[in-house]
Amino acid sequence: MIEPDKLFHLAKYINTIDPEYRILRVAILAAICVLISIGIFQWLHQPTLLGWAAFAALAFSQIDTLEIPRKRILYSGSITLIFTALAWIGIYLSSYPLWFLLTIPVVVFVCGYTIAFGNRYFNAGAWAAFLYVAFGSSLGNHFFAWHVALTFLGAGILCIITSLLFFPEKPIKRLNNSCIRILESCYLNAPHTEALLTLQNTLFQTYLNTHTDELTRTAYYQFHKGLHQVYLLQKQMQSIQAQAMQHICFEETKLATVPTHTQQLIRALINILQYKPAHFQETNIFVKQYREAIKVIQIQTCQQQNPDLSAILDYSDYLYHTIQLWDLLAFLASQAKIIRQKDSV
Amino acid sequence: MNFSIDRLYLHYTLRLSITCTLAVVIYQVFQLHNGYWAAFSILGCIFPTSGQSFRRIKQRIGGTFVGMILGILVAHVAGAHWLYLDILIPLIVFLTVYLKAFNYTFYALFNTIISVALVCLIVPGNWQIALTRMEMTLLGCLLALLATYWIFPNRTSDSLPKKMQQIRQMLKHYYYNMLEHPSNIHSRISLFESLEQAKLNLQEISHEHWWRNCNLASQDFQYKKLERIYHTLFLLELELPRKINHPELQGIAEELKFLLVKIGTLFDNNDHSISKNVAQQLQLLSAQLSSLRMTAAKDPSVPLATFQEHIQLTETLKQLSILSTLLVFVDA
Repeated sequence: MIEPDKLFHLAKYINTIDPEYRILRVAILAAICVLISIGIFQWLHQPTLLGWAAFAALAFSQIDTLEIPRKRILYSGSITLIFTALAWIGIYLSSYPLWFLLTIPVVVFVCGYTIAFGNRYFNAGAWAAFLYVAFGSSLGNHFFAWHVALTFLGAGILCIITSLLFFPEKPIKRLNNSCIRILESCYLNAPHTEALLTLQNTLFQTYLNTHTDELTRTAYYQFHKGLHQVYLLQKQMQSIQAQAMQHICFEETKLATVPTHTQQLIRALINILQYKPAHFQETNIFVKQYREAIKVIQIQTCQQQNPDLSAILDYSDYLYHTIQLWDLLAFLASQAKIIRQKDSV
Repeated sequence: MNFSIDRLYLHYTLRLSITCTLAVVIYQVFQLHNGYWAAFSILGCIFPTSGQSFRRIKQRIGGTFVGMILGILVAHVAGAHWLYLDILIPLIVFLTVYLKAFNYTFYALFNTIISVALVCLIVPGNWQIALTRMEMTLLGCLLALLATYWIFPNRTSDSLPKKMQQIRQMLKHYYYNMLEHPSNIHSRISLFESLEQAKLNLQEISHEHWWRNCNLASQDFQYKKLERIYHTLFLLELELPRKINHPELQGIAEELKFLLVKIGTLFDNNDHSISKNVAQQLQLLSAQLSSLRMTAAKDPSVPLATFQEHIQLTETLKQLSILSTLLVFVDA
């Protein structure tokens, strides 16, 4: 059952589980396909086929890969043909219970084997097993078998067309958007950055090998790694800042402007990924300014009789990590430019 | 894709086939109305490992029960009006698919309502079908539970310690990889996946807890340590100095090289004397560095680059000290 804390997570569902609204799109696709299917069969006054049509639409829309059109047509087309064949065989064998029973372990074994290698939940193999069991228990003659098989064929074609028309998929755009989403999360210091990084990893596993060349793939991987490091570094800097604030006044050392500069760099990085004109600022000037500011405080401190150097040490720690973060962002900018270049070719 | 049959999946597919066939035999012999729903429950609830199966069984029963109540309500209120059903069905389908990834309970719940609504389109107002759905779900879940318990059981709690050991070895490779080829990212990707898998397995173990009293707290502790080692390595990779220019710091950098090799041996060796020795050396180097850093802090003429090298080394030593402590703790 659902625990109360999970209800809280439900509120954050979009951010952590479905930031791309992908599940939302699949759910809309399923609803549209089911509506059209049952609508058609109601109009045709075919109540016996209506349930099968809804079932077929639900199955096809859920196994849609939301890949590029060529792959989607190939995959969904093959699945449609397999399900159509299973519908005919299952219903035909339903008149011969013993034969149907004998085929069950074989079909379930094959389907179970595909489940093990595919998506863990409700992939095509699981649906095939579900449908075959349902077909075999329907008790119909071979005319009915043809009707149901054709219903499945029709529903499959309907789902492919609806899916292609309403939900065109662009893998590279998804990869870029995922990077932008994480950068925006870093920009806002949002708490769900880690969840987004995990989702990005899954996305990369799905697309990178098939949709990118060696150079772009490496750039994406480096970008992913860099984003993870930015996240960890930002977390580390928060604690360093908290510690440093015990000794130093950030306004005095001009360090208060560091987050603003960091945000500007992140924004520039986002612009590069969005193909907008972007100028990734040189950070050396700022570093020099900060260094000069600390030098003044350093000289003042050292002139004291028993100088307390903890403020200087904390300040330099913070500055060092800032430089490290900015260098990392500069590295990400170089990777983003590779991605942008290759993508525009 | 590798199509060789893993023992875990072979057991799973055999368990699934046997149980599903048994369900079909039962509904054929006893002429159970909508008996295929029992087989559906089996297909939806049997998973490669028992923890996953137990969780699914609980969620399916809970979801179907609530769905049954709501389904009866839907059958009473809208069951005789096809227009209401036409509006309701796509809406429920939307909720079924959308909330599936969040929690399977919702999937079972809304699926039950869809089944009732679809039957109502053919036989208006048929609310009894909701009860049949519940009965068949209970039958299917019972068979799934027995199968999980008796037919080639695969407990995550049995395989997790071995998996943790594998992750530790991967961490070791990652560590050496980092020292030799800092730009190699592929070892990190596979390591990340293994850690995620271990996290999932831990969640599964919590569902096996009632069946086999395993030490979940200890496994969780081990996992958290491994995760921390992973994050420490990640930060270490960022800090690790490739070249030190300042002559005063070069001695420390040289000693650090030897220390890095020694820490590498801690991944395989749980010899506490080595870790003690490493800790002492780290302390010594830190003290040395700290005094050099203090001197540098007093001197405003020290260039920024040198100051950065000081901090870089300090941070590296800090991460290494965390790493060596974690490595010993994992073994303990």
